[in-house]
Amino acid sequence: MACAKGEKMNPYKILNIDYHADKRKIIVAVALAMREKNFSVQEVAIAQKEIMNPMTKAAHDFLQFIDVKPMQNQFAPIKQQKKKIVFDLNRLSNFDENS
Amino acid sequence: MKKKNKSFESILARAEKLFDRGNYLLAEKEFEKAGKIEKQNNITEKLKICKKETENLKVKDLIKRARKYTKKKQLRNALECFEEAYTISKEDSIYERIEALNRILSDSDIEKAAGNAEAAGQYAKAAELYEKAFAGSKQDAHLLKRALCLVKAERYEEAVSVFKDLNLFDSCSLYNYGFALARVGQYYKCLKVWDDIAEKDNDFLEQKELVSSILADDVFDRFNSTGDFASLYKEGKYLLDSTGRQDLAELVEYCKYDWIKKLWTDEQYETIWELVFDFPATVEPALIALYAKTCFKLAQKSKTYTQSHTHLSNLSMFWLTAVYNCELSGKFSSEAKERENIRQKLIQMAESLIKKEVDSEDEIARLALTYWNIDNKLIKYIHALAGDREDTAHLVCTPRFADLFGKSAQILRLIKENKTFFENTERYLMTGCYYSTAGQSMYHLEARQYEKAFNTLPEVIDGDEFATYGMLKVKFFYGLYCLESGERQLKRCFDTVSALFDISSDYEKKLIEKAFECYELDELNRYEEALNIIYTKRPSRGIKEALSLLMSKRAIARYNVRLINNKTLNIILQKALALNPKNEHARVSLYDTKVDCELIALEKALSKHKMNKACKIVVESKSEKVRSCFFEFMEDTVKALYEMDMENEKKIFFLQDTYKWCARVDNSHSILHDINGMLRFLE
Repeated sequence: MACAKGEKMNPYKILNIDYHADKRKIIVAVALAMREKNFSVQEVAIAQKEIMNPMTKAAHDFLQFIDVKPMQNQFAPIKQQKKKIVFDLNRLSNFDENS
Repeated sequence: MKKKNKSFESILARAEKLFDRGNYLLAEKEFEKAGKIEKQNNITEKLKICKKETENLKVKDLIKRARKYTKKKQLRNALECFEEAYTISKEDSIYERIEALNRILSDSDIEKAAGNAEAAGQYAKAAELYEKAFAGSKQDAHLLKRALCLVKAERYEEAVSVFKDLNLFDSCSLYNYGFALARVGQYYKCLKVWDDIAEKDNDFLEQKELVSSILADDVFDRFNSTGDFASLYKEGKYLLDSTGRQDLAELVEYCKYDWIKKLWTDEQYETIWELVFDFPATVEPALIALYAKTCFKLAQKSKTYTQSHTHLSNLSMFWLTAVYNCELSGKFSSEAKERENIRQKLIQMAESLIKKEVDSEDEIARLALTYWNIDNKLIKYIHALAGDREDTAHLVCTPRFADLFGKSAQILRLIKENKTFFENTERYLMTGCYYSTAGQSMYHLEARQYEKAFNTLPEVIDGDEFATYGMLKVKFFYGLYCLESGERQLKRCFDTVSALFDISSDYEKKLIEKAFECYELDELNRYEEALNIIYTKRPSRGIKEALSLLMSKRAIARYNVRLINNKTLNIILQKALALNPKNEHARVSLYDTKVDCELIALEKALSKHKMNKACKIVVESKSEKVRSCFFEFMEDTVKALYEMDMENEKKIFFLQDTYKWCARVDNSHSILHDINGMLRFLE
């Protein structure tokens, strides 16, 4: 049952840490989360358990984070190729009611 | 003196008369005359009343005239009438009318002044006056004119702030609003406003193109300086779609992914799905992961039924492909065993998500689970086949994913090259079939959507063994569905089925089992028709036996409801028996039918006293029942004859005949002994 709850939650969000956080940081984050009381004690405890277990952590790492860099790296450095336009905009009278 | 008194009285009397009639104007004059002659308090009071009433009448008349002028829009004349009426009556209601008219006349004056200023090219002044006019009238028309004058006065910021709250419909307003937006640097908004202008004037189109170019420059500048990727994506995409400027394509894509990153943090998964829904031709592993995770989150999060289920059905396609992807799963762990455990954990997570919906007895979720089970099974085969090879690892994906990203042909080639990998031909064909053109139809079939499966079969199969297998299987199961539901598509379904039986005899067994289980006449009719179709193409032992049994069962069922007679039943049973001599049902039924036929013939012969014929029937029959029937008849006849009141000579004659007939059938039957006894007694 705890496992099902763990799957649904985002432990990184509950503990406000990123996936590089080491054990020490996790423990500090747990203490902070308990103090801030944004989540219940049970939720914080499950979050900690999920993050500390390498298998559930790996599953959460996969589910909770996205990596868009590989998609962006497909493009060459983005530069403007066309020559810049000179701003020269005069009001047209074509649409005036009396025209 | 007398004359004088008489004159006063007559004047007073006339005055009173006029007063009583309500003619206060003339009454007043008469009272005045009378008052000059002789001062009386009574006359002074009456005079006051007359004056007041006369004034009231005048006020009423003035108000009436004022209303007429108002109707004719002659507001100044109306005002004069109201003012005169107010001078007399001092009534508040008239004062309010005067105030309202003054306001209108003042606004009208301001509007006129504004119009004049505008005509004279004093746009700033005109704008101020229109603002004043709006303060009085609260009409949007005045604000619109103010905004237009502000544009002409080149006060663009102010013009934009006025325009933005107005509902604009006409080209003039839309153009000027857009122009003001462009002049304050809001090029994207300008173009969006101008998109609502229907006119395709050349000057305007040129100007629009110019603004598009300026916007493109602006987007490039902001890309290098700001991080508002959502706006950059929207504006760039707009330009890309509306002008086809390909130099923006990469920028737009780049911004899209940066925006997606932000949306992911904000848990805006719906927007992410909209952004990535336009699937590219080739797909990066990271993008597969993005599809999978977004689907998962949406399926988990979606509140509405339709949304949730769209993502549930897409989940297996992307999730399984992602977790089996070599590059993505490589990041799970460096240890193969642990990697597999994490993969299974992720698979179990998604499966639980689908199953949770199935538990709520949801039909679409059930369908999603069926698809999941198919995909889960197939991807295991493909992974086992190609997952460890560098050149083929990228092909590990679910059939629908393969179809979406054009990988199906490569996967089919891989399957063909590794036929021996599969434990049997059918497993090989079935795996390939899901990746073939018949794949979608197979999904429907697995979901027991037989009609849908049949209707989505590919029109051209062109010798492809996998699609052919799919077509055969779908036709077979749709055929079974037709057999049960009574649909008349049997020929189309079963004319090719022999090829499927060659692949696996299990299908033949399944059909035969079902044929053996049916008893209802309608069902028997359909099964016999189907088996006949199959028998002409594949006269196998099993089909022959099933057809034979079905023929006899159906014939009996028809005979029982008097659809056929004994003779026809006999013919059919003989045919069934010819088809399968071991058909015990036909054999027994045929025997019973034959006995019945002989009994009928015997009874007919006996009733017509055709004794030779009767004897012949009994002699030829192998049925004890026929024999018994004959001898029972003879015994009754003999007994009746013996007891009959008849000459003994005649009795002897008839008994001797009877003896002969009985002896012909059975010369050791006990009846012969009885007849002999009777004859001896009579002789």
